[in-house]
Amino acid sequence: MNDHREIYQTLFERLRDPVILLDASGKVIEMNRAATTLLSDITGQDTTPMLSNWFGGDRGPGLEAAPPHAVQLLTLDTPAGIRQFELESQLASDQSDRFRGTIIILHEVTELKDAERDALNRSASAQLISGISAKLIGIEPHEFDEAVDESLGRIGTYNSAAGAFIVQFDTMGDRVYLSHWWSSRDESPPGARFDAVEALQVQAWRATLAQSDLCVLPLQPGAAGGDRVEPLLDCLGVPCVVRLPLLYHNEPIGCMGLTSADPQRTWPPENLELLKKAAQVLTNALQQRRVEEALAQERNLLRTLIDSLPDYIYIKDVGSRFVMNNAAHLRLLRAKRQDEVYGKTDHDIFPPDLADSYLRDERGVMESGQPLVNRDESVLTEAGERRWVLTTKVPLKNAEGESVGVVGVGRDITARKQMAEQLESHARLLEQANADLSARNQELDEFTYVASHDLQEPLRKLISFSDVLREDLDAGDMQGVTRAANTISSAARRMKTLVEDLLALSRSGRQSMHWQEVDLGECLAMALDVLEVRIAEEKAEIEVQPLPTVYGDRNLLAQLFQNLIGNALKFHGDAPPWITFTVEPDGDDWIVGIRDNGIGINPEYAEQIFAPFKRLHGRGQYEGTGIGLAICRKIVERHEGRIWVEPAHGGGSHFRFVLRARQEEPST
Amino acid sequence: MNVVRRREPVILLVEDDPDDQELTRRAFRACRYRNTLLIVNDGEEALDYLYRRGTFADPKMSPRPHLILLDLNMPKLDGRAVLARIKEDPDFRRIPIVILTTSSRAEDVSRSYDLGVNSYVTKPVRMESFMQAIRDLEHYWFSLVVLPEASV
Repeated sequence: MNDHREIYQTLFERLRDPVILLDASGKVIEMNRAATTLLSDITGQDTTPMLSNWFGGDRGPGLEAAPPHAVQLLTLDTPAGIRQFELESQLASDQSDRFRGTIIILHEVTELKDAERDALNRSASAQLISGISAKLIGIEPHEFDEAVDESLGRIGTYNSAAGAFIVQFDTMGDRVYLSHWWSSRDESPPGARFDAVEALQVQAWRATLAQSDLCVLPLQPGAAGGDRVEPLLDCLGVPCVVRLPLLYHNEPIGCMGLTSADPQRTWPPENLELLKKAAQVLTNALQQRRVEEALAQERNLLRTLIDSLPDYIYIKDVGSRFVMNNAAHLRLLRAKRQDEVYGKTDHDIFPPDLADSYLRDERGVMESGQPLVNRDESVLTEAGERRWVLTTKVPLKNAEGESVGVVGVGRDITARKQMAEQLESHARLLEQANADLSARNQELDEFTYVASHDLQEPLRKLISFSDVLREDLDAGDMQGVTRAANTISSAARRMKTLVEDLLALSRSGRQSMHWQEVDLGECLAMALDVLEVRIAEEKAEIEVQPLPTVYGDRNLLAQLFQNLIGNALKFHGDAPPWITFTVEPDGDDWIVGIRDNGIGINPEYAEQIFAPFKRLHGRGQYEGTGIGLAICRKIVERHEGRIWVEPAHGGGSHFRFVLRARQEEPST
Repeated sequence: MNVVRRREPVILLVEDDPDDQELTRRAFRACRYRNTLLIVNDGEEALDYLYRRGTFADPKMSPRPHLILLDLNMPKLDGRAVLARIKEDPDFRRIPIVILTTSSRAEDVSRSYDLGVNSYVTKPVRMESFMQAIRDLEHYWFSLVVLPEASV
């Protein structure tokens, strides 16, 4: 038994794990060497306070109450550092059951626990970093900032920080701003203070960050890297910060960090490692975001630029499909958005022949690699309006110099074209007007001459025959006197008729037209009314027939009938005049005719007779001023028709004229 | 040379106005020399006379004129057309033609000379001046200038 006891004693002493034997009151009965080393020799002392400390206040004295074989993790701050033990307590009694006590075994697990925690830590931080990376890669631009804030939150939470932040320099490098922020207590970001930082200070700040690594602010007195110029703590309004520079290719784009309300706060090194990794991930994400933003901005700028140009600009791929159209071109194609025409070809938009010619041009440009410059193109808009476009098409080439599409630039020159056409047509009109004017001038010249000649004639006779009259009076030739007096009186009458006819001609050309629907039957009746006496005198027979309604001036048309019928009454042959009318439709017009059985007109003079003062007969045969038919022509011309004369069947004349059946915007 | 004809020249007056015909007739009656004044009423009649057509078919009634007095403004064929027609014809182009008209328009004058007229006279308005003009004409054409021999 003693031997056994000795063996047990030896074993007890040599156990690496500290073992303590307590009596029922909690006093140490025995402790082995390992326990002495750990706790110093406390044999005979009451362990109740210690146990109470170990197990938490409540459970101290009632160690018995602890379940047998209870295992408890115990952390002790020893001179050798923090050590961790699994505490196993066991109720013990001897065979006689006289002794009752507690055996406490402290099984050291410090290394095990450290390794375990390490592994746990590493895996947690790895998870954190990969989580952040995964979140930020390929994120939509509008979700980016929120995701960064959230990442800061995860990092901050992991490190039990009060806040986490990212501060960035703007791309010009003279401003600093708080770009992202997380607060454990949902405090709002203190961004405004950053705005006050001056450019010079910002530049110094950048220089500091370029040189620095992770550090805790405020710096210990005397530490390297003077932070006097960096107002980070002031701006954030916190007493302590872990700060990491965000360096992209050694160039600081800003810094990130965690804040703490405790100025003495220390940060476990493994956490700082995590921060470095997080900083790397965030730097990459931020930088990529910056590049994307710059690209988008540049794209935006270019797009805005080409959209604000009035010219049509478009890009087509190698299959002549639209890839890009600027706003002006979209408007031309009547598309509201780019995707309405994206991928379409000219065949989807224009008529086949037009599209074919465009595609031929573009194939030529792509195959030859030569641009097509300033080609006049006619374009049919979606609205069916034809416009003229001056087009230049340039091949779009890739890095290998192969044509991969066409860039088209078109300028709408419709207005210019129209103006040129208008100018040309104005010039033509002017030319025409000039020609008309000069023709009219000549006509007028002719008229003045003939008028003066015909007017002078009776005057001359008045004078000449006054001389003759005096001579005959002197000679006592009374017959001669009578003849001369008759001549003088007829010359005076003729003068009167001439002046009246001239006035009528002038009126027929000048009097304003009173356009209306006119029943030609009425006009004829008016003319016959005026001519009633002469008709009776000549014993003329007039076969009236229904006449159409035309568009014109009633009085002028009555005058027309009067003159033509008057002519037929005058130039009759041996038989009494017989006058009939003809009517023939001609499209929208009527051809009306007056036919007589008179002496007729030699076709050789058919044109001349309508000129003023033109007479075919000596005055001895038929009296007249030669103005009647000139008036007829003037009247018909004012109705925008024409008049001519044909030989009538069986002798006589057939005067015919064209009149419009209904209104169509008269030009006079 | 036929002396009688030389002394009694035949003058053809182409004039549509009967009053003017009367005035001219009076003027020639008052002339120094005996003459034969024949009158036609318009251009067509003038050509009919020269070519002896219709009522002028008888050569005795329509002798070849030594001088033609031609009015410019007439119905149907006017004086210009008659002048052109006569001067085109080799048979008649030697007959002197004098335009006797009221027109003093420059264009009429130059056009007539272009067509080969021999003289252009504007009718004086007063009777006395008219008489004088006719006398001067007769003197000039029938005693002063030498005319080509008329081929019958």
